[in-house]
Amino acid sequence: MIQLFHVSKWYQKEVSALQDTNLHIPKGDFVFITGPSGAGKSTLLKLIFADERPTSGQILVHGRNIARLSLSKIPALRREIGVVFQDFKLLPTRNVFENVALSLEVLGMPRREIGRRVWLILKRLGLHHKMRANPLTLSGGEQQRVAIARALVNEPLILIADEPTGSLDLEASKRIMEIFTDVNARGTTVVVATHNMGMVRSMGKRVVHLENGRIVRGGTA
Amino acid sequence: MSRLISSVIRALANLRQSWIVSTITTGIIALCLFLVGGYMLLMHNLDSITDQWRTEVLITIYLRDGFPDSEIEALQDNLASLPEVESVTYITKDQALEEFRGMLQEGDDLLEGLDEHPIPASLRLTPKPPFQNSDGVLSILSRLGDDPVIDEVTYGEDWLQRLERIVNVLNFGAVVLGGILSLAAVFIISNTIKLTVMARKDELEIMRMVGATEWFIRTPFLIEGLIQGAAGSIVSITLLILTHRFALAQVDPAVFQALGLISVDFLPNRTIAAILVGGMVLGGMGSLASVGRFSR
Repeated sequence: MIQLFHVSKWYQKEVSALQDTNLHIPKGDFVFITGPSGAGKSTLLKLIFADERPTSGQILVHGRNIARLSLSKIPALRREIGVVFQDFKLLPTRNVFENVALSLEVLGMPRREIGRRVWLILKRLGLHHKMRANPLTLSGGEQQRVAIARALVNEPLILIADEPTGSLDLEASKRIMEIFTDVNARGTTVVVATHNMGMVRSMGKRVVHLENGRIVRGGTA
Repeated sequence: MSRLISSVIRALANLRQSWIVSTITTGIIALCLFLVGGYMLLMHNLDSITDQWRTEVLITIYLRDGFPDSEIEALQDNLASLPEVESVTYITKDQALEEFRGMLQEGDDLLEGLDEHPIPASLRLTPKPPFQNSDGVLSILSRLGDDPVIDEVTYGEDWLQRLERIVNVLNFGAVVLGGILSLAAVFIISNTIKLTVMARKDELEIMRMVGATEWFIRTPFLIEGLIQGAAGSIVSITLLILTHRFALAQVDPAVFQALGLISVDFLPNRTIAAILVGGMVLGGMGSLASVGRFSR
């Protein structure tokens, strides 16, 4: 599903974010990417959904070589990957329904089908009663669930989350992890970057640990 | 087609959602185009003034005495057939004398006592508009040849050269000032649009993140830009019409007549169309270019 071969990423000429990284994440896996701040966790995730390109090495995601992927092919890749961020990245000018619907609008899906699918995912995540609310009026945990709903509504093969619980309390964090576990159980590959080691340990999943841009543990499945 | 309709719907929704910013952008486009259009209106009427001055370009061919009318008529016909010539008027000796007396008014006793008056007959030749300049006049003069009927030719050389210097300075000033004004308008409009797009960069980022194609992202921005550009153009043209009417109503017609203006025209249709298209192109392309700046 996701393979990295000798991947390095440099910002400018002096700053190295990832060095000679090899990683294999099979289909249906649930992986935590851990490590201190600046270890390269976010860079690794950005490389997977082609938000960044590797300086050297090859990245295969569901058969696509990210290093050589043309700009016009990036949208197709991203439709197979749902992405969740610590800061939710919700649009305050759109309500909850409209934020989630965006993922389906870009596919050119008919309005009726969009309505059906958005309602189903919001119901699954316990947000169907807040469909018309402005995301800014919701709690942090609810906002993150809206972001997850947007990431999942088009049924992606991979779900990537960068510090999804970084700004949430313990209860909300647990709820988010339950959702991820459920998503993974339905067949979606889940990759979560976090520095919350307590949560990682409680989940009992595979852990890839990064330090100074290098994988020091868990690189092979 | 359905994708285009959906883009139009999204563009209209975006305009409605951010109506304050959209209105400000449209207003700035309108103001810039109004200034450029106002300048064009001024230049258009200045052209009319210089065109009016040019109609006074006249070549006078003084004729020798003693030639039969048939030869003078032949010369007149010959000159009238030249492609550069609008009209040729024959002024007989008697008519010339009458004109001279008219100019002298009270001093017409100067001519008394002369057996035969010395004022010669002449042909007055008006060039066609494209030849109402030094080059045109010289081109006509070169075709006169050495007809024995022709005694002397005058065309107000000094006056014509002065007029051309004035027109050249005005034209140069028009191009420089018009260029600066147009560039300033393009700069202000593109930066205004850039700011409005920048305000929506989160939306662009999220759309790209969820797999939107560049077509999907850019088309509504292009349509929004076109709509804002068209609206700005229409407002500016309306303001120009009102300003033109106001000027006509407020300024004494004698001022315009003193300037040599028969009428103060509004902009020609093709210029109005150019403002409309220019506004849409500026809006549309400015919008597209700004979105492009935030693309990965």
